Amino acid sequence: MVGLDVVLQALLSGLFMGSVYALIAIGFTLVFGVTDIVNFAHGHLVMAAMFVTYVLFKSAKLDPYLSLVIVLPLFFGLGALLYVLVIQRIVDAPHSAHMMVTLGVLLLLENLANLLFGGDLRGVTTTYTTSSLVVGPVAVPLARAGAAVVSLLAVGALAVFLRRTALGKAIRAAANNREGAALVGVDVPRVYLISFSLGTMAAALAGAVIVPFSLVSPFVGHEFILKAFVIAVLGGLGSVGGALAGGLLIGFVEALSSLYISASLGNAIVFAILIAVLLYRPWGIFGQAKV
Amino acid sequence: MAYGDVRVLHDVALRVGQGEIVSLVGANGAGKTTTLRAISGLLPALEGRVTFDGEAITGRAPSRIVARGLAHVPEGRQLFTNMTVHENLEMGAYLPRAKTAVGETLAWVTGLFPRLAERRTQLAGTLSGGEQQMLAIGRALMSRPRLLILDEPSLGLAPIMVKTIFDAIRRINGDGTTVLLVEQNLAQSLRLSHRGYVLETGRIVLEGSGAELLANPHTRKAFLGV
Ligand SMILES: Nc1ncnc2c1ncn2[C@@H]1O[C@H](COP(=O)(O)OP(=O)(O)OP(=O)(O)O)[C@@H](O)[C@H]1O
Ligand SMILES: [Mg+2]
Repeated sequence: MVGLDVVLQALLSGLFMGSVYALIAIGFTLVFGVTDIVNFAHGHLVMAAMFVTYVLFKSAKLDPYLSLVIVLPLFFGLGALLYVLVIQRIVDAPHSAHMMVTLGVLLLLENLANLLFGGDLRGVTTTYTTSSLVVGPVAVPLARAGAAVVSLLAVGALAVFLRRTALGKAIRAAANNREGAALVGVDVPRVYLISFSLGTMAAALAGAVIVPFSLVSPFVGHEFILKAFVIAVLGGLGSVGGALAGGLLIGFVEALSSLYISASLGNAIVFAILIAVLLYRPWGIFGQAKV
Repeated sequence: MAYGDVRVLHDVALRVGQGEIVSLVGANGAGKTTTLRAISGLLPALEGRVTFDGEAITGRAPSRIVARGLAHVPEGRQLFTNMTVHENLEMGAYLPRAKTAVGETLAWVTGLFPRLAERRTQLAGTLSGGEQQMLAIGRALMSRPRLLILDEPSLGLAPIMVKTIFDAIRRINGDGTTVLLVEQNLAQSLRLSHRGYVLETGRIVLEGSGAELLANPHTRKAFLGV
């Protein structure tokens, strides 16, 4: 029998990782919701941001949170560049073309990282990497808590941006009906570009804040894209609120299954959920059936 | 105009004068929607020219064309179904010129369609067909257009709703907006219009005043079946 304190500890770690997953998935689902592109390279953008953060730490002693000042604008720009050079050309092509092209970008990023850094796992040790705060029966790992807080703040900021600002509303309108948006005067190609860049920036933010407690290699992107995909489907593709709920759910499932079943089965369980959802509720657990 | 290699418009010359209601009528597949989409920039034209207020707008992006004062209520309405009625209207006034006058325009639009004010917080996707058409027209009017283009606004509506929509078109025109109307509902639309054009398989075959076209044996035979 596992003690209550152990369960609480697991739930806490599920909450923390789930928040980060939610941020990654929201970037992915935003891009899909607006441009209809399933970006298989999204997880590899997280990986790329992890490497940039790693290099900034190693070469300039820049703390991962401080390095956001560089990483966020850099990846917004890289997202824009990737969109203009590659994605824009296939945005109206069928899904099979999206898949091949974004898988191509994935391979490019992975091979580039492998060329520059090799295949080993690398990490940084910050002053707070192993610190935790004991609160009653649980120990709160500070690095993870920080990543979760930043992720949730970013998700909240994005939600407010989409609800309240003129540009946010234009993005929602273009996601909902591209032609309708064009006819009221929304510059749809520009909205697509901005959405893709924002999605890339969300991936980069998540990548940077997990660096203090995660190891990076050229191959970690696969794990992220798989989770983002599952979460986005759970939440109903294109839904920000659904992705938040889905992210937290996957975080909890992962933590509890490694506690009660086996850590190595975590991904298998996540996928069992995905298959069940696709079979019985293809519009997502939190999404609504569309006709 | 062509879709892929299939050319669908051959010889379409039409003119809409300021203050007029002009109808473009024709059978299914004649090319009415294609003509409107070429005008509002949703489709790139192969050749030919669209001028608005003496200025060439051919090949411009739709967002630039709306900004010049031309609003298109498209086939299928293309509403923001996940957004509320109010948000749809607000999006209609997206461009700066319209945004500054949003309160005043909203009062005008809800005066034309009081139902939209009642349904303010309802999601557009849950409106009835007639209400959706009102919203589509209302959203277009929110941009304060000088020319309003309507693609089959009466399609699929009950007779009472058709009358509401046609009455609204008359009032919109009375308030100073020029209207280009595509309709299958020939008798009603020609009665409403100052002038009309008849389109057949991508060619304008007839033009004249609404009354002339209504009386024309060819039109009567082809479209009214009499
Ligand atoms: N996206 C498309 N791809 C290929 N052909 C198309 C496309 N849209 C329309 N067409 C063809 O172009 C021709 C004109 O179509 P259009 O929609 O302009 O007709 P319409 O007069 O508006 O008809 P309706 O009264 O049925 O709306 C038709 O033959 C149609 O099949
Ligand atoms: Mg049509």
